[in-house]
Amino acid sequence: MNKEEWEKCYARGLAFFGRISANVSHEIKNHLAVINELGGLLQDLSIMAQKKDGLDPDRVDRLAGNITAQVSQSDKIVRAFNYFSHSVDRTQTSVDLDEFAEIMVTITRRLAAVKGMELVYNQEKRQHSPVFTNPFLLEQLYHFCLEHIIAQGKSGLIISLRIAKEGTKGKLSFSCPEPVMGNIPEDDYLDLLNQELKASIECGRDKRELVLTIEPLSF
Amino acid sequence: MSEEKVLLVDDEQDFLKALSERMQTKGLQITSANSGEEAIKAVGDEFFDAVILDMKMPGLDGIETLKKIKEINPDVQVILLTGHATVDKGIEAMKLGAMDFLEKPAEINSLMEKIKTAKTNKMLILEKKTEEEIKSILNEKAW
Repeated sequence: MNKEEWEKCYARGLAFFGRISANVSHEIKNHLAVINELGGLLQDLSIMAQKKDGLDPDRVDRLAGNITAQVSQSDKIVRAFNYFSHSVDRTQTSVDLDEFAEIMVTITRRLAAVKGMELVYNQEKRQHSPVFTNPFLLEQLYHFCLEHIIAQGKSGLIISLRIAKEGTKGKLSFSCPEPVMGNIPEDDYLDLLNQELKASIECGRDKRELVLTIEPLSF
Repeated sequence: MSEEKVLLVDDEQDFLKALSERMQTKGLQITSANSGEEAIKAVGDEFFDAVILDMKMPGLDGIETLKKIKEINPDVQVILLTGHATVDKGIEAMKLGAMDFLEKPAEINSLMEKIKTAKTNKMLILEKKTEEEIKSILNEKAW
């Protein structure tokens, strides 16, 4: 990478990191807002019980269960965000595509949801699928694909992600039931990422699939 | 206990359910809507003392929904809720006629106070309108 490319990589990478961070913080805040209301409701019920009415154990149980579920979802997002944050630690490492896909879907699901779409990691058989690559650049390529699909799709669209290994190559396939995926518009930075990761993005299955293929980097 | 009639609008189902249940426990009449489109329909069908509207929603967002609600009923009192409040968004919302702007998670007593203020504002507007109508009738009839 020359100096100019490095500067572009730095600026675009930082913008990407900021976008994901803002998205995750928004999602965590949503969970906190729900926990705040559920906790408040429990407090209200307790005050009411002290005054006159008895406490309905089923209602309390349901509310406590909802709080636990919200905490569990928040924890999953925070864990995924931690993985994402540490992806800048090393420029070359072994990335398990199965773990990568799950993490990326967790932290980017909301990007689709705010447009009324659903993003799911739809892997039938979960298995360890390591590829030696640059994780942060791979995350950016994933994001390029996802943003492109979201920009083309309409509310109600379900976007499924699958992974595959073909020899040493790794594949991330985005698919949806409708033919919304044209080729990604030209972008210098996308070319740079593809070049750095020995990657390619191809549109297939009558515009119903977008496949990101990466080759392992050499030591 | 107060009987304020409130429309709650948020695409986050869990938040909508939790806040609705909490406000009902506090004696409010709650109607909930999952989207801006549903909220517009509800405002067209019924009168509310206050509308609590989430800023960020798929489809019509809070600002767009606020504009449409105000077209249907300029007197409706709208309180906007957001995950991340910014000064710019707050100013934009107030310029469009929002009564107030709160950041999630909102403190319930503060929200209840704002709903009460919304009801008072609505009553004052209605009283003023009624007074103007009476004056207009008196002037027209000249008895």
